[in-house]
Amino acid sequence: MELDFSRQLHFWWALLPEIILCAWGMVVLIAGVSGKHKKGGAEEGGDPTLSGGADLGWLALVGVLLSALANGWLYGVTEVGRTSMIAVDGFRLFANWIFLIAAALSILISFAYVYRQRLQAGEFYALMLFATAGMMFMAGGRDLIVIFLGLEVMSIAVYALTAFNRRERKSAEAGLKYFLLGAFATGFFLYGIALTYGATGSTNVSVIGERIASGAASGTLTTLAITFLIIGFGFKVSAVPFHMWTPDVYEGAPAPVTAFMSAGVKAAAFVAFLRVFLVAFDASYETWYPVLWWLAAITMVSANLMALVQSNVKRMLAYSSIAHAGYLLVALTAANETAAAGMLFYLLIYTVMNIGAFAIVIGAAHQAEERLQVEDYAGFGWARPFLGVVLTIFLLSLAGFPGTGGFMAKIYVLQGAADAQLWYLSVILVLTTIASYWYYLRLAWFMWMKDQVTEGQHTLVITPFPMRIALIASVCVVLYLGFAPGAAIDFARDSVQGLGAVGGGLLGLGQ
Amino acid sequence: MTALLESLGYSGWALHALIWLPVLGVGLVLWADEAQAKILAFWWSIGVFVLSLGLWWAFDPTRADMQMVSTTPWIEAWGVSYSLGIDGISLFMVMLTTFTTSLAILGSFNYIQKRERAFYALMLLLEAAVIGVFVATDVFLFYVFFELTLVPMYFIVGIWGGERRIYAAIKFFLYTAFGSLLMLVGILYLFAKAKLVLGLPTFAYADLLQVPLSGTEQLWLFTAFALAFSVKVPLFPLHTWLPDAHVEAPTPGSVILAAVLLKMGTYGFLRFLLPLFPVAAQHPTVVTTMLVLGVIGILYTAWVAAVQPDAKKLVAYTSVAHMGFVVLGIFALNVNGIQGGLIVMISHGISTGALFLLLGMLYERRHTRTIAEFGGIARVAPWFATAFVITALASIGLPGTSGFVGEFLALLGTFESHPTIAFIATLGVIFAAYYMLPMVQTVFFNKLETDENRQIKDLSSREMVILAPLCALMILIGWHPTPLLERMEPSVRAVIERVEAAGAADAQASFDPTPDAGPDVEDDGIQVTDGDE
Amino acid sequence: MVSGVFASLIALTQGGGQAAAEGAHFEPFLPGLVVLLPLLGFLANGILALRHGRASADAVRAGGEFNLGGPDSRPSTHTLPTWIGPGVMAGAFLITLVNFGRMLGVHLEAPVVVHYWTWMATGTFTVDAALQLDQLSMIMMMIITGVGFLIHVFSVGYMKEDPGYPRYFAYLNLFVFFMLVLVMGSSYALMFVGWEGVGLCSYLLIGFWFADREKADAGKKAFIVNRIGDVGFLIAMFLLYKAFHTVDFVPVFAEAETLAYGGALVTAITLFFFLGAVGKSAQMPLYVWLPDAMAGPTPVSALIHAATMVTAGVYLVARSSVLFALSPVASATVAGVGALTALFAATIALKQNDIKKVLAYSTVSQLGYMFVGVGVGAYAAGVFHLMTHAFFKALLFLGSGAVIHAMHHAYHSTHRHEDAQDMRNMGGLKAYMPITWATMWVATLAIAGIWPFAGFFSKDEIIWQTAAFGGAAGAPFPTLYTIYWIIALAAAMLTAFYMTRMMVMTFHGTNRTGEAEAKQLHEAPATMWIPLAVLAALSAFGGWINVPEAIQNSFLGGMGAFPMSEWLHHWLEPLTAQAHHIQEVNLGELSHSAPFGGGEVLWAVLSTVAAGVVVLLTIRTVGRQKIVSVAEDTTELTGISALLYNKYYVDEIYDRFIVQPIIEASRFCWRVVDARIIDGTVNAVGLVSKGIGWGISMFQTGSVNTYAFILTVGVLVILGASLF
Repeated sequence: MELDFSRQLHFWWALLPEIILCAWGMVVLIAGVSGKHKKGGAEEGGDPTLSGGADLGWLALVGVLLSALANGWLYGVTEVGRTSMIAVDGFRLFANWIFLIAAALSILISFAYVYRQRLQAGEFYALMLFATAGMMFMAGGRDLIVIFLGLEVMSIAVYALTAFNRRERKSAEAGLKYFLLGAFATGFFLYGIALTYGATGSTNVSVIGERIASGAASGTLTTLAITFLIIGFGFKVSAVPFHMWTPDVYEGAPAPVTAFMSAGVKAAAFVAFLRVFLVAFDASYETWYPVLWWLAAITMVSANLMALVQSNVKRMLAYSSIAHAGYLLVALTAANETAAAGMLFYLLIYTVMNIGAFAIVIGAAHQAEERLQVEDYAGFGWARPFLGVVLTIFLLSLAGFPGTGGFMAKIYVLQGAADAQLWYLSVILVLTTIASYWYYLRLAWFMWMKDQVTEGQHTLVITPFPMRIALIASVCVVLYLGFAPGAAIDFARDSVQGLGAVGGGLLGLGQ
Repeated sequence: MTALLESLGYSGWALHALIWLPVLGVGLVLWADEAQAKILAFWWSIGVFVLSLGLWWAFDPTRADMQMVSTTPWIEAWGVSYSLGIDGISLFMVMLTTFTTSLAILGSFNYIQKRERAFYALMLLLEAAVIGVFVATDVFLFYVFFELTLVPMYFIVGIWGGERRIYAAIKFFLYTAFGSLLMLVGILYLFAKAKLVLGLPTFAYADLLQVPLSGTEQLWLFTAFALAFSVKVPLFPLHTWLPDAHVEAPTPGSVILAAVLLKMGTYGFLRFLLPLFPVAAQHPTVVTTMLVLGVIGILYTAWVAAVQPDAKKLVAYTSVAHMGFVVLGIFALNVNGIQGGLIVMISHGISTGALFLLLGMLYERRHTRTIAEFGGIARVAPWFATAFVITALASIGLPGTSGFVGEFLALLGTFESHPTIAFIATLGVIFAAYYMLPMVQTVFFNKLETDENRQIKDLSSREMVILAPLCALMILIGWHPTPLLERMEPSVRAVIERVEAAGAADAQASFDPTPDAGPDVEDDGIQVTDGDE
Repeated sequence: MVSGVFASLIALTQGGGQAAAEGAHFEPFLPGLVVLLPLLGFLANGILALRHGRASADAVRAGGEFNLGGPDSRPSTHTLPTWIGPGVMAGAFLITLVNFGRMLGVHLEAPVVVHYWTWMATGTFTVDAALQLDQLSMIMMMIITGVGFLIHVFSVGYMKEDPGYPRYFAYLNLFVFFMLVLVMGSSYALMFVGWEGVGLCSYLLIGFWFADREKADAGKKAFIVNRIGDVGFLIAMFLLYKAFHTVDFVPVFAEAETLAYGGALVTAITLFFFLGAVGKSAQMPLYVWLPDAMAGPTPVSALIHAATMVTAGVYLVARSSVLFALSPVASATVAGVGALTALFAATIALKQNDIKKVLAYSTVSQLGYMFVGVGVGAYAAGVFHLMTHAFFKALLFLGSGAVIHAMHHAYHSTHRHEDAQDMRNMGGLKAYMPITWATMWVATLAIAGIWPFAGFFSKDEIIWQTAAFGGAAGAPFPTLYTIYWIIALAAAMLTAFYMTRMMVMTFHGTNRTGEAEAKQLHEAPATMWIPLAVLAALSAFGGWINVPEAIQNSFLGGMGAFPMSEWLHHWLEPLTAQAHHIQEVNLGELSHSAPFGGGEVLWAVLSTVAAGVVVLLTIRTVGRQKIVSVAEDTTELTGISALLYNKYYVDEIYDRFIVQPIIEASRFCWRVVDARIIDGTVNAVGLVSKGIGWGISMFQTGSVNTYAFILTVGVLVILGASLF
């Protein structure tokens, strides 16, 4: 099918995955009102998959599946012209897969949590679906307005999710913080859009790109616009120094939400970041490249250093996610096809391994917000060998160790950096990676090299069936991509092909 | 034998089997009974060893290039292939690995008392990874294996180690990762350059050899690679992870660490540093730096070793000294030196491995490693003392043992090219006696005073089975190293020739007065960049 | 049966002889077996020792001691070593004899090299495992297997009650194996195998009674000091390789003359070789290990630290005569070090009370003589003295062993813990041990250089050659050689003195052992005295194989029929000819008169008369001295006596200025450089990283205000950076 955006209806087709998600979110919301799903329980023993909101979770998963079908269907679609507000390209679709996977995994790991924390299942899953839809808008938007819309849809849903566990003081506090600071950053983002419009007379990234390339845009205004947009995106991807909210919010938010946003929100922001900067501001590379270079460097260094001193696992993973943002910023700084594909590939693996790691953290925390210190993991591996091995694999993958997807991802990003001759940045990347080994392995050493403090310390660890599905699926993906990444690499590479064509050639290509 | 192997198609599958059989063994061991795990692991590793013995006959000693090569595309987008092969340099490393792994496993029967399945599974995993390092002919694959060795070792040290095991494990891990990650950047540089010059992405060793690099590039890359390998070797002053790792590691861990893992560093020197960056490798500053560091390693660590109160730490430091000889031999950049270095590598693997096994056996009996705690136990454990003395003598390079052949040739080679440095290094011969003999004396000789020492048991038959082949090899290689030397010679010669050719080209580039005749010539579409000095 | 053996021996000998008649063809007879037999003996004895060790260990573990010959003992642990140990030596000696006989029958111009296998081959460097048979190695083999055999036999008696009996023979056999490799190896590399191998055996045997810390220490010291010399040997080999691309004797000597006479390279090679020799042969300044080496069983001292191993350095110089002849500086150094050592050690020997210490310093001193000999180009004379010294010094040591053996038994029987080796506790032993007394006097006269005992001829030739060399027309540093000559003469007088002193203190005068003990003193058993007697015969007449022509022709010669005038000289001629030729070309003819006039015969007569006078005077003076036993001896030594008694404090000086600083430096390297500086840096990187991380985390206050503030700062910085 060929989409022609002069026809209104075709927008509906192009946005099918998003529309399905939004609609399905309503369905879940309505289903949740019916009351019988409301009650969660804190009592132990009962199988959380069979009561209290589990059916809403499965319902939400169906929505994700339908959306995924739609996303797959879009591969058979071509678009006419390249300046519509909605992009139908491999880049967007690949990103959608990431969001859908993030959503699906997050939903799977939250069943027991929702139940035990007596969360409102209907609203919880609906918000997740809405947030996912927002992410998709960000990835698919070829217009700054659409991207902004997506950003807001996603953010507001995530703000709500963060504060969702209203019985926890920390959760509410995190939600508020996130909201306040997010609003602040959004302001910059909006300014950025406005200034871009002022400089180029358009909000369409392709058009902006052409205008800037042709020299029709005002230099100073463009620079200002770029700066503001960097700040806006930097906040969402939690680049240092706009990361301050991250540890608090990640720590305070309900754990499944943390997993979801550390993967999904970051991915969405990066994808949009990449599209805007590589397509719209391609010609201003010289302007934004040093800023991003420094952002990447500072982010990698300070995040990894701060992660070293964390003893709370959730906080440690929060800093780790900032660090990964730093690595992804390297790809962005490299700004070439390899790096773009590397970024997609990285985000995919990051999503899987990060949510996987969080899943075990949630399980180990008794599906609650307890036992989050590193010390609580003493002897965990020997008590729960399966979870121990799986978590170890996730940690090694997060650290970027051979045999795991994380390694391939890091290599891919480094290849992009190599193509762009970013040697210093590459060196910083690997040196900070060494620091990251320390805190990832620290968890591993508590798990395997220390004995349990008290006997039976880990018997209450709850990993219900859906969570196990998520874990097995994630670990399989991580290992599969670690051993046979070929297909995924080709897929990521093909996915960024269209992107380059739009912007008139990605930087660094054809050197 | 050769015919039999041929009829089995041995050279086609042997290298694959050597990597994947241990991996299969990991599964089996994990699946087995806790009580059976060690028996199974031992026989499994013996099987792998027997399999590797076939290499001896299947290997064609007259060839210098990679043999038994097999290549399967792995990640085509990046030009990575799963390609294996061996030459005269890696042949012995593989055999050393399979040999010492078997003995290390046998040697851990008493030492490892808890979580046996996991332990033996990790040992086999380690074996697979190490063999992978030595047979990989794709740089990416090499790197994967190179890093993979860290994980099982990390857990072996960290879980079954001594008091400060976690500190030692993490130190080992971070230290070595530090070097190898910088090498990764170097590998990616080569890769990017190869893509540019050859027009296709490739990580194949043979292809990367074709990539022309300027002198400056070579120096930078050399540094990156050298860092990775020097940490592994370890070369002074990057050695401080080693004593900690050795002391804390359980016996089999120390054995493998000393016998095999350190060799990955020097192997890397030979396989990558010299052939890939020949101009840098013979740059006078570089050569002098490496040689001087090697010499410092020999003398300095000998001194440090001599005053260690802990026997295991002492032996750990001597490892650094031995590897100093290897580094000398390699950077002598001649046939004698490199072959000597290789023999030292083999000899060190055998003798230091045996020393760690012996110290482990001592520890099992006495639960201490403090030298001063012992005394006079030759009287109650004569076989033990005999084995220890033979091993110690091989370790300090007494003629008639493997240690001498290696050190002699390595020093001879060094003397050929750098007499002063070789002269200083030869002093290491004295200091070897200075660190080893007092330890031997305090532990085995002197008066038998304490009751604990009086009750020390002599070698059991299992322990004799472990030590006998090691001691026999030390003496056999000491008297008849020719079968080893003749197999490594062609490959070593090829390395030297490559380095020398680059040196000649470089000299021509620097001294050729006519720019037209310079090396900026188009050759098969590949531009040869100049020597950039 | 004995006659049968002889008959077949003669037949074997003539096998070579007949060939000689046809075309001077030397057919070596099983040379490999000479080396192999001791090795097999080692293995057999070693296994016995380990088996015995197991049984012994059980006894020790149970809290007792192992009693050899007691109920715990298996018969095999005593009987088998008794036969295997000396047996393999007898075999090796017989084979050597056959070969010697065959070589006698021909005039062998070039060495015969028997290849076995390629030892090392790298493509540019090859060493074979090959044995070289020539006149020099034959002499050495004869000494090693012959004297070695006698000492093995002696040991059977001496070590009879030692719990380590099989182990002892294992080590001793191993030593002989390595010593034979040393002298028979066809290359420097193979020689080095033996060189370090004998060092190892020396280490093991000195520390044979390792439960005694001092003895174990002595072994360690010997090994380490030897290794200092070994470094020199190694470097010399490297230099040789650099010059000739081989370290095999035959090609090296064939091409040696391509090196410039007196050139730096050949001087360096020879000096480094000499460093090796200094270590092995206990010359200054590395002699310190040899006196300590007396901690080993006395037969070991006889075999290793007198007759064979310590002479390896002399053998090395003699073997490398071509190279040394090419370097006058190195040769002068060799002779100089030898002369100084001869004098220096002799002075120390003057004041020692331990019978073995006297002999040890005497050995050092005599080795010095040998170096003087080979240093002045008199290679045959050096080897000659090596040989005679092997006879009389082995005899002296074995004799002292017999004395110690007796003394030890005496004290043991009364459970007194007195020093069985201190001469102050002896005296008057002549009455109890007449054979020992007599044989030792033969050796004493031999070493003192009294005509016609062996030492007279060998020592005198060295002294004479020193004079003759210094007087040569082109001799470098002639004054130096005059000094050497005077030193050599002086040391000879000192030798006569301290040896006689030793004899008098031990055997003459009144007995100071103690009354009860004296009753237990007895002559050595037959296994011990027969070797003494054989060696006495050799010490008495061994010198006659090489009577200098001058003496032969003089009145002295006329008094005895010496059928073998200058035999050794001629025998070694094929090997030393090249060196002599070099000498002749570069130095001219040797002088025929001593520095202060007089010919060879005159000085020979003078020295033997002087030595005789010294001996007689010493008997008188020392005999009159009042000597008291150790327990009663309260004299405080002062001045020179103290200096000599304490061996010039050389050990203390080494300890203070070399050993302790190295240990201190080692500690410094470990505790400061390694632990603080290097590891400290590494750990600091970690700590600083954490510190920075902790520092940055300080901004993470949890307050939204702070966050907003930092965000704003970030904004401003980025804005500023992009705009300006």
